[in-house]
Amino acid sequence: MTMPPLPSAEGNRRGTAARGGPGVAVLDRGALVGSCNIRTEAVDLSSVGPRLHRSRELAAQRPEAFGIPLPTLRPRVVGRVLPEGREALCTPAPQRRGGQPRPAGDATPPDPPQRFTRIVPPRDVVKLEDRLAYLLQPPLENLLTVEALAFPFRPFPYQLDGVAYLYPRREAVLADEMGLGKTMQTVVALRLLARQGHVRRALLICPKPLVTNWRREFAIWAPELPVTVVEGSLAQRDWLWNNAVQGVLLANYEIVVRDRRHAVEAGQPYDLVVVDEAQRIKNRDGATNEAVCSLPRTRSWALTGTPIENSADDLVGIFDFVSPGRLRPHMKTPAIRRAVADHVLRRTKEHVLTQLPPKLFRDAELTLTPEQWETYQRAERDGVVRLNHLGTELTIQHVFELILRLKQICNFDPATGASAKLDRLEADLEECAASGRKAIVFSQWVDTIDQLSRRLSRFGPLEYHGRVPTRLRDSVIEQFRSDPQRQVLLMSYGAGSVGLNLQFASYVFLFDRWWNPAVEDQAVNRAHRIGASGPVTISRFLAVGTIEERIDRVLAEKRELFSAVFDGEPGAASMGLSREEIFGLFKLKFPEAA
Amino acid sequence: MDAPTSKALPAFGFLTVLESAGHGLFGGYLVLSPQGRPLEFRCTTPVVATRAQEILYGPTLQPYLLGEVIGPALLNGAELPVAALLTDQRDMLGLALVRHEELLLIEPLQRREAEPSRELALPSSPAVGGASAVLGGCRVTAAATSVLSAESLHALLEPLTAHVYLAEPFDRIRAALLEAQQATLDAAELDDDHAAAA
Repeated sequence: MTMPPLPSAEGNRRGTAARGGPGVAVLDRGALVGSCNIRTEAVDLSSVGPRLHRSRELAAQRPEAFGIPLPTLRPRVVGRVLPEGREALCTPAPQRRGGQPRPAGDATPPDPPQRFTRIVPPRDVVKLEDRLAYLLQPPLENLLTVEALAFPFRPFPYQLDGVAYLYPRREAVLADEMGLGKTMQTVVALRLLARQGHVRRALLICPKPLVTNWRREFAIWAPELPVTVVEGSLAQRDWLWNNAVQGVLLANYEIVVRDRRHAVEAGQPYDLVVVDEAQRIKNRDGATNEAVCSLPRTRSWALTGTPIENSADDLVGIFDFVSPGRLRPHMKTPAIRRAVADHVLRRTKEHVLTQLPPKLFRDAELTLTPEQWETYQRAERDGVVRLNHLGTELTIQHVFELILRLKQICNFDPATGASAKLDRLEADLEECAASGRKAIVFSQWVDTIDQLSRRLSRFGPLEYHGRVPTRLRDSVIEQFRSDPQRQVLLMSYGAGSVGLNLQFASYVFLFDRWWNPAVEDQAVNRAHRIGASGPVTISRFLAVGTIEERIDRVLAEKRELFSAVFDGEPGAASMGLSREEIFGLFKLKFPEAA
Repeated sequence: MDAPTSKALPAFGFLTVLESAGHGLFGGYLVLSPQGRPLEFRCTTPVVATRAQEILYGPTLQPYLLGEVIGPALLNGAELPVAALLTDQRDMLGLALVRHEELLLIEPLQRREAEPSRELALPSSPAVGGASAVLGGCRVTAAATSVLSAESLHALLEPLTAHVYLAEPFDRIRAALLEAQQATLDAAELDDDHAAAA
């Protein structure tokens, strides 16, 4: 569609009669009024009254007529028949359905829709013709109806907004807070693009534990789309990379890295590559980032609830995939905001899910048992002395080891097994069990989970962590979901913090704290998500006067960056610790040589 | 579009105008398939009446601009035949006198109910007065020149109302006109910058 710039209205005013200023019209000589060409002379309307009076007096002698020129308004028209219109012109008109006119008043008119979800062109679409092509599209609700896309239930309005956001974009980051349905929005957008022939072959990359979840979501939201999981022996995978040329290929990160050559060389570019839990590619020097970024593709979508985990440079790694070159390392926050504004869609539950039950935080600041406190103080004192003795040989690994040691003591006294946290947890779980509700307990360590499992045996706890074979994990979740006797699930952050839907749990306990509150948020949102039937109570255990409290304080001070990049979102996620900050926890200086 | 084809395309034309302060009236015309897909789009440059026209046409100025200037300009250049023309501008109905297609006024029920006095405030238009029906959440009124019955209105629009809320396409046209207008302003600013730099 050629759309030349529209001339201003000035062009239409030219040559008209309005030249005399306000209240004054100057009439041109020889104007055409109606079909009569009447000879006139230029007159000022202010003088017309007296002249009319005079003319009546002198009518017999000197009749005078004057007219007003009326230039024809001829607006220029631009536009054209659109591609679908050309096709329609060549297609015979179908027979009208029904045949007979329907009597008036026979049918109940449908209620006017409450809301339309518009497809807005991305900012990087600059040609007016292309922008209009988006704006003239029917609203999303109409597209879904016309394409006869059936859904198990009606998506929330904000989810349709997310679909309308993804649909026209070749480069997009969907960074909704966990639990808002990024998976469903992506599947529906992909389904719509596939239905319209824009996407024939898509590759979806996700963490290994989430492959089952994605397959299930595709079965629910896009049952007609063929989904092929890339798995099996090298020969089987090689065959899949080369021959599964229709529908969706589903692969985990490890396989994409391992099969990089096959994935890259597999025929035509993918019409769409989606990267789930995109924080996995934040490390620009990592093999995962390199493998994912090398995939030939025409559309790049990244999904993540935590676009910034440790520093703003995490976004640079993600954008190496989504829109290479858009971000550079060490850019200032305002520049990052400007650069990604149209490429990142971020919503939080507080903003869009006002109907979601509340999330109640109940921070438990606990005093260690005397045995724990004595062990803890001795370990910290000795540990710091040892670190100081290392001098220039001190590395961050040494500091980490001490931190982990101290955090483990905050969980259990290694000598006696005493645990202030466990005492509190047992009391809380009694209450939880009595109410018939289910609880998830998160810990960083599988060893801690083992200890908890032994001491909490009367609650029949289930376990979900790295030592549970992958093939058994789905059945663990199913048992927790369906067995009323299984009220407690012990999970590690690593295995259970992403992708699982556990909205039937009402309580979440963070037995120890992760380095990064964003990961804690991921964990909490396993339960606090769409489908949660009631409030979710989160208990965060923190040993006062210990390393846990110091880490928490430093992280709290750093929540501002996320807020600065993503439009004042208050602490929905936050940063990890830098090396300097980790050393600072023990008042150690970061050695130059390290 | 003037020459009706025997093999009528089951398409529907939507006509509206956007009034822009400082620029005038932009006309927009969108042809949709019964499924609501865009098939053809046209828009006009802004139209501003002269002071003389304002004085001479008085309350009939708007019907003149819409029904005799903008509407014909848009439709004369259009290529696709349509089963009916729909407008949300009462002042556009004068167009029915010079077009062979059915011209229908679309008024959302909510707006109509919310502003009952609006109709009374409008200058009476001889162009309104044909059959009327409630379809797809809107009141649809045929032009006075139309011989359509209410039943025929139903039959005519049935393919469209199955998929499209009749008042919705006008929003698309207005959004497109605003976009085109903005693009023109941006281009003009760019030209000014270049001129200043030269």
